[in-house]
Amino acid sequence: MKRSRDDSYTSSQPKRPKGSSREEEPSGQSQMTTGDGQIPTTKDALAFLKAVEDAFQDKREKYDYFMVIMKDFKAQRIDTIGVMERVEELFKGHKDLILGFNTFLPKGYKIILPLEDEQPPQKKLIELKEEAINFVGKIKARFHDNDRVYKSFQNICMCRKETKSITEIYQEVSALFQGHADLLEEFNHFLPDIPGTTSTQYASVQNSLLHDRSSAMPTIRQMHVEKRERNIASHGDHDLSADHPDPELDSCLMMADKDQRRRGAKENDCRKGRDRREQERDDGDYDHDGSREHLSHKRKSGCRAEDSGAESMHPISYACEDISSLKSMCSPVFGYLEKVKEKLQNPEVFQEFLKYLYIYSMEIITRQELQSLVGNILGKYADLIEGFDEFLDQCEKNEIFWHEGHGPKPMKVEDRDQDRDDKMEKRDRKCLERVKSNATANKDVSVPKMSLYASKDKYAMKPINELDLSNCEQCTPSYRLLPKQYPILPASDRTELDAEVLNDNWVSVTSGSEDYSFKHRYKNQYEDSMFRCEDDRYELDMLLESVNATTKQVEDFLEKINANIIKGYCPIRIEEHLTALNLRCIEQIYGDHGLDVVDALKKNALLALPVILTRLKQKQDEWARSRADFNKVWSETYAKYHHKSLDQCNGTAIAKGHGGHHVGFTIMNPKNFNNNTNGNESVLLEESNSCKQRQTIGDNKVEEDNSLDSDCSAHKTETETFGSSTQHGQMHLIATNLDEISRAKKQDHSIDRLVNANVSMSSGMEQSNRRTNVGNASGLTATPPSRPGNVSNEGGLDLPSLEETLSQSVSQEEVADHDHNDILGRTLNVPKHLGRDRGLGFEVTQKINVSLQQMPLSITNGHVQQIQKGLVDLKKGTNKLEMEVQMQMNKEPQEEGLGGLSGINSCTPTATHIPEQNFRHL
Amino acid sequence: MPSKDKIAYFYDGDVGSVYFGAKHPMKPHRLCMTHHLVLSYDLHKKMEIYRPHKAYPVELAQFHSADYVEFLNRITPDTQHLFLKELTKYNLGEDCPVFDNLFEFCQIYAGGTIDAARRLNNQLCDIAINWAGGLHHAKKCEASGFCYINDLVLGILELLKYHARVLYIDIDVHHGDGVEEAFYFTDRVMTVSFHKYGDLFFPGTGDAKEIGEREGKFYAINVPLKDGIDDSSFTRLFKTIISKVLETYQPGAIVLQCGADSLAGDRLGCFNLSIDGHAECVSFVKRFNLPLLVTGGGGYTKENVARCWTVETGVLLDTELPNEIPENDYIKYFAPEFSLKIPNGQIENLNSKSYLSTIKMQVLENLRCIQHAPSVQMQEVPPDFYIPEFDEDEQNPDERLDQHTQDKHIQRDDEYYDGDNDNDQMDVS
Repeated sequence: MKRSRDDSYTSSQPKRPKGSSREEEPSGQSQMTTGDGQIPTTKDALAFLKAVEDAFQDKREKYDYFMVIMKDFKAQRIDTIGVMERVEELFKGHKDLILGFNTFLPKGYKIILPLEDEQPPQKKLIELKEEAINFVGKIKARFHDNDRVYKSFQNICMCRKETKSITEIYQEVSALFQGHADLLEEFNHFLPDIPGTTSTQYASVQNSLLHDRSSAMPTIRQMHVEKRERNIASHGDHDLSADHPDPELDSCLMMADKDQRRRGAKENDCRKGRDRREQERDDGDYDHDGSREHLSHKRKSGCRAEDSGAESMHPISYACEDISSLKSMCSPVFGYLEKVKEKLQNPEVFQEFLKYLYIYSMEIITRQELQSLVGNILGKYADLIEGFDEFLDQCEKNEIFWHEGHGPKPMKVEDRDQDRDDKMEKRDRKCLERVKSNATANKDVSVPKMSLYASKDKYAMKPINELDLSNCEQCTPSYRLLPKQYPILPASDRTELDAEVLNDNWVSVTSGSEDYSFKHRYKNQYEDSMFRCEDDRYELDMLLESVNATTKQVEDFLEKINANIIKGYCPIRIEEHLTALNLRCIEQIYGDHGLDVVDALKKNALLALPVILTRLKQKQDEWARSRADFNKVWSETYAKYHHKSLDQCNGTAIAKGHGGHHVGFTIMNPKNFNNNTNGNESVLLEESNSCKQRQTIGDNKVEEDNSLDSDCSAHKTETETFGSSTQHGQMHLIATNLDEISRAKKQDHSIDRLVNANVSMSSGMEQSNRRTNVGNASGLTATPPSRPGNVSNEGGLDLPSLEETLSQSVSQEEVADHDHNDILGRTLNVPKHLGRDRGLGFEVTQKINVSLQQMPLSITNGHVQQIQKGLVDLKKGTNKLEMEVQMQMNKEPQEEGLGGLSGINSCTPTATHIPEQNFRHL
Repeated sequence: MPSKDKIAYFYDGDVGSVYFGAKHPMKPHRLCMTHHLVLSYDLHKKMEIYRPHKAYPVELAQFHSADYVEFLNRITPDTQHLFLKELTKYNLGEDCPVFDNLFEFCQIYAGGTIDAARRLNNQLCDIAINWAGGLHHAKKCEASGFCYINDLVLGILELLKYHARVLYIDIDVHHGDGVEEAFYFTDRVMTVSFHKYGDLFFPGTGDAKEIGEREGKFYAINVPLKDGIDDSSFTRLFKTIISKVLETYQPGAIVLQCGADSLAGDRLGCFNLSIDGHAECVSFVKRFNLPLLVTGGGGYTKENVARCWTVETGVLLDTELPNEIPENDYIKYFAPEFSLKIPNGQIENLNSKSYLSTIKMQVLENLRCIQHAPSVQMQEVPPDFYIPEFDEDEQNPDERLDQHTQDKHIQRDDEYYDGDNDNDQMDVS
């Protein structure tokens, strides 16, 4: 290599002037020193800079200007020639600096010290270049059909410096150019001169020149190619670094491609090195420096191109990676789920598994909790448990991958993933719903057990109609089968017949209450009032009956004790003689102290019984009177409200009810009504008294006849009853007429009748009591004990009219006492809401008493009447006059009627009437 | 010629002494009113009067559970607060309160029905009346609807000893659920009930679809009715169904429950039946000349109950009663009219002709499913549990006519003399 360099320098010296050749020798030596087997390096550059700095220590500006020139060259603002011109001006007077700078210039470029010397080298270089280019073009054109020859030629040129000598190169080129002597001769022109031979030396000189030119051009081209290859290699390096985070198959393929390119790049590097060495030897400093600068410039541009290429490639590769990774990640997930489903073989368990996954995806439970839950389910299958972790990892990767995004295509992919994710969620939700439904089913299964367990306790305490039998078997709308757990109470006294026909297992389910559930039926207030009266009457009757029964028992008990004095001293058991009802009655009579009294009775019956008996009789009388008093009130209520309670009827019904009321009164109480009528007649008219006496006599005769013939007596009795009813009916009609005449009088009359009816009812009550007692005892009305009573009654009819008058006065006194008793009864027993009614009754009674007292006085004689009229007028005024007028009107029709009757009868009654009148007057 | 039917009448005055409580609609005192009204019309002269024996707990346990009977026997108002759980279990309280002499009350009315059944079995009478009975809601081991012991079931069990088939007819306004339930699975007892159904009316059972089950299928007949049914509709429907039942079933004995709460104006009822309409049903059943046990039942307007059962006693005796009520201890209760007639009800009749026709056709269709009257295998007749015997040795020899003899004596309408009464009268005169 050294020899070849020396030869090249020697051949170039003859061309140049001698003076310049001398100057060139030291630069050549320095060049030889720096170029000993190596390319100029950074150290050379730094040394050169130091030399420049040392030279311009006194002139810092020049050094700075030199640096600016370098920067401008780097920025491509000026080319190589521009740089040479400026450096030449800057380095005037410093030949060593110029020569040193020339070493860094690319081949073909030199700074010549003298102007004449500088111009020829440039021209020569240009000419050499042109010849070399032409030569290469010829070779290329001639070997157009055979590229192998051209490429071989290039290889020979690139590898010469390194391993082969010029002779070897010439031999190889001669072999390639067989048949082409002209090309070989031109090639020899570029080869260096061989020392010792003139012709050969001249030819070699020409060959060397051609060689230099031809080698320069290919070198430049090769340098471009090398730079590109280096760029590609650096790109490969960048890809390698990028591939590390993504170790995928696609990235591996790209790596393979890049490796191939890299190998190609290495080969190019070898060629480049050879060419550079040849260029340095042939062209010298200028060519070498220029080539370096170009190389650095192209490297930078290559880097930029590489970067842009990498960026453009990156999204596509990422998208491909995403798609492939998605596919790879999703398939294991579904596969794993299918495995789980197959091995579990129980849909419910699998649904639970999916439910747990859903809960985990909703972040309700942590991963550890999820693993423990799934472990319980998949405990039997170890491979599934191991796969479960991978399953979760892949799911998590999917989530991470979905969060990343680079550009439109990855977004689309993410959208697809989201859709799939939504589907997965929907599936999970459906599974969750299934799980819930299964849980509900489980609850349904458990509920009966709970109900059965609870029902055992319930059955013991609840009646059948309150049990919840809705879940039991049903055969018809209201019949249910008792649960098996229900304890059927034994009926141990049943016979075989009973067991055959009776039903123990099926029950009819009742609802509501017989008393309280049925309330939609409308009852008007009047009907309710009547029901209330009925209840009050019932309550009072119950009290009275219980007192009566208790009194009887106590009396019997005392009689037994008195009859057996000796037994009285022994302890007596009350329960044997008195029933629970009797004791309850005694307890009620004494109120708050009832229990104490009963205890005293049990301890010492002898002392307590008489006291209790007295109290019982007292209460018996008291309540009997209360009942009699209330009967008036209740009768009044019945009369008022009965037809009103039928208010829903039409007018005809009301009229019928009213008529029935009156008729009932008349028919039901014929004797009482007769008594009442007799009293009125005796008071008002003397003739009526005489008539009654005759009637009484007639009755006696009838009775005598009865003793002879029972049938005849029965017949006559019926006749008499019929006749009396007829007469009373007539009286009723008369009364009705009077009512029609005067409304006010009608009211009074109705009041009188009401009061009389009450009195008659009470007397009728007594008679019915007697009859009832007889009936209770024997069940037969006709008995010897009742006969004397009847006889005595009949005998009573024989009493004279005067006695009847006295009896009426006695009855009036009884009425007064009655009022007094009413007050007492009211104070003791009457409820508040009945007190008002009682007050009304009292007022009515007082009015009647007043009217009754006034009647006898007005009848004595005309004179007395006149005096009383005057008194009445003076005392009360007009109202009294009106009342008297009404009374007189009431008298006249009766007198007329009775007068007619008296006309029919004999004169004896009239005589009887006169003495009575005189007697009263006296 | 009047019928020579022998009628036995069962009554014990103590049954009216019990007191359910203030404002409770059930008032046993109504039985005293009925009895006094029967006496006032002299109906007692035409039938035998019996005081029923108090049924023994063993007799009551023929149907009811022994525990339930024992509990009724021991519970008193003073001790009921100690047995709240048992009270709830047996459904005592509210409708069925605990009162003094509760168990005696049950013994009397159940004993009456049982005695009536036994006399019918031994052909000692043709018709037996026990107005105190007819409490048809009581169940095997619990009380219900004012009823504690189901005397009807006990009476039917007695009748089944001698008769293959027994027919039970119920014209109370409430469904006879206790009796139906007891015999729901047997063909030896056919239960027919005419009642108000719907509007949550107690007891809420008795739909026309309740027809019995298994052996008892088609042997439970229910005639559900609506508010306000009147005489003509009710009697026509009653006669049609009962005649068909008797033709098909051919019972050996009939038990007729005559609850009077189906009358118009009843406090808890909702029908418009008059006393004549109600009594027409009794008259119709009597015509079949089968052993007949007549009981009372519901009825919560006391005076109407007494009127109704007195009229029906007269119907059974073929005696026409005058409309005017005679004197008796309870005459005031019949104010202001003092008449046997009661006003017709004013409730709107919701039973349309089409509805009644539908019910009738449904019932007749069920009866058609009965191919023939069911029979029972010949078997030994079980002995009567208890027949009260009157000891003649206890009779007072000085007394010509004792109470028992007088109670059994029946006065015929066609007899000319009163017998001993004439003698007594002659002695007096």
